[in-house]
Amino acid sequence: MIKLFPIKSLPSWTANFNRASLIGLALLMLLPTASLSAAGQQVPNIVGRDLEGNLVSLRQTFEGKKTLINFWWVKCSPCKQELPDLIAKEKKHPEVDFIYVHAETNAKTKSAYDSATVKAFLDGLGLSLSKVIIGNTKARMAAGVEALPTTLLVHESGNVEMVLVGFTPENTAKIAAWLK
Amino acid sequence: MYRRVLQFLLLCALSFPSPALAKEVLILLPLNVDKTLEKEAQLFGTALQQGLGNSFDVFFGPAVEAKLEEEYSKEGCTAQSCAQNLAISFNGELIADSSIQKLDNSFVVQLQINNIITGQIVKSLIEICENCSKLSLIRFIENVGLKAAGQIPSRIPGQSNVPRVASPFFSPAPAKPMMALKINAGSVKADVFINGENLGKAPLTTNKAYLDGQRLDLLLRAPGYQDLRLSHIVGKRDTRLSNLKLEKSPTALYFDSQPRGASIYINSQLMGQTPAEIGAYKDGQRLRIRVEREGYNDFSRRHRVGQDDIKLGQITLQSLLTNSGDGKKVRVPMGF
Repeated sequence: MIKLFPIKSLPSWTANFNRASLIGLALLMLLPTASLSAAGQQVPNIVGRDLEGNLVSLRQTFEGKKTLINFWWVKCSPCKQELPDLIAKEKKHPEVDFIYVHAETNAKTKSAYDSATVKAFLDGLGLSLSKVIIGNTKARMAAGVEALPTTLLVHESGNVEMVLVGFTPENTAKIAAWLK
Repeated sequence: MYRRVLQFLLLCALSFPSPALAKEVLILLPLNVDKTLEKEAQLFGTALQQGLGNSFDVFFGPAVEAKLEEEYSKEGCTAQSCAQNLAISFNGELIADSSIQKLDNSFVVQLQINNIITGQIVKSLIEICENCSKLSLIRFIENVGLKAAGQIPSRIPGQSNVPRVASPFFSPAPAKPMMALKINAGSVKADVFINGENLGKAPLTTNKAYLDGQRLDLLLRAPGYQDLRLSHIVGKRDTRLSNLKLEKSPTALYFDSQPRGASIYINSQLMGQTPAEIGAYKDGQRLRIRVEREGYNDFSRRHRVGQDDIKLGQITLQSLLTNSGDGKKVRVPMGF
């Protein structure tokens, strides 16, 4: 075993650390923390308004079903591309709940987007989303979501099974496999 | 080999962040208190926040107050819509309303936690602190918070006629030391504000005690000096408060010369022509000043801001004289 700390003043237990363990530790520290912050944990609560302007929360909306939660934003191009694909999947899988969380602060008003703006945006694209929660950036950060779009695949128990960042063919395939 | 694998797995387990359960967000509205308790309202609120903080992620204080003000200033704001916007802003569905009233020798502490979405009253408490001093009331309030947070078991049914006093009912919470603070800003007699309250002029020792760990917004203000703002946590480096230093307000320098229309250079940069006010500069800042005009001797000096600034407004430029003998120009000594 190679002793990495040949300094005499170090406590004797440090001699038990070998190169393999320390490399392992270093590699783990390099892992992206975003995925660790959500997968395996309970689905975070998010408070916002629905498209009609009613106050809603993710906890109240969650019905104990298998649920796909998609974080998006009106100014995010990949989000716009992903939405039609998710709507198609939602129609195909009525047993799964789809919740679309628009959690980004409006830079002009410094608060969450108002329902009318988001509704007008969706109408403009000809999209119809069943369950929408419009919160602010604080809500997104609380959920550990650092990039958009991000999709959480949530078990009936409320535990997050998978965190998928970005609209990519791999993620689309993972969602399709999870829905089956 | 096995030993190495075991060591690797152990380190893996240690380095993974444990999936800590996120606390529920609770927005604590500013405390409603009697006029006699207005001075201590912030302190009581902090005590309640600390108690509730054991189970909730509590938002309280300036951030909540600022958001409330913003909401109430909006047109068409109703109590409901304002509360809803507050909930969205802090991403929490629980809102706590609390009040403290003085009745005879007792204090009545009321706390109600509502779920703004379901309309459900999550918790409603009325506790009486009999024969309490304001100091013991602080601990009592913290315990009310702990009780609301489910950290202290509720009173056993059937014992409701037992007088509600602080000590027998609540299990003793770890006492937090209270401390007064010494604030000194050297020779500057600055007004001292703590959490917006003017406590008098420095140097002073606060006439009230603060909870260890309490966050205070400190402001020192004196004419001719820049405001000094500090966010201070009681108990952490309190000694720095007795050695505060206020910076003098930036100074504008006034330049004037005889004759006028001379170019003013500060640190070799053309700044304007006399007469002119140029600034702002920090007190004590050293500047290289040159004032020049064709046909006159340059005025040049090193200047320390704050020392003889007035003389920069009284510069007399000496004209270049010619000796009648050989026709050469000679410079006369410069001066003010």
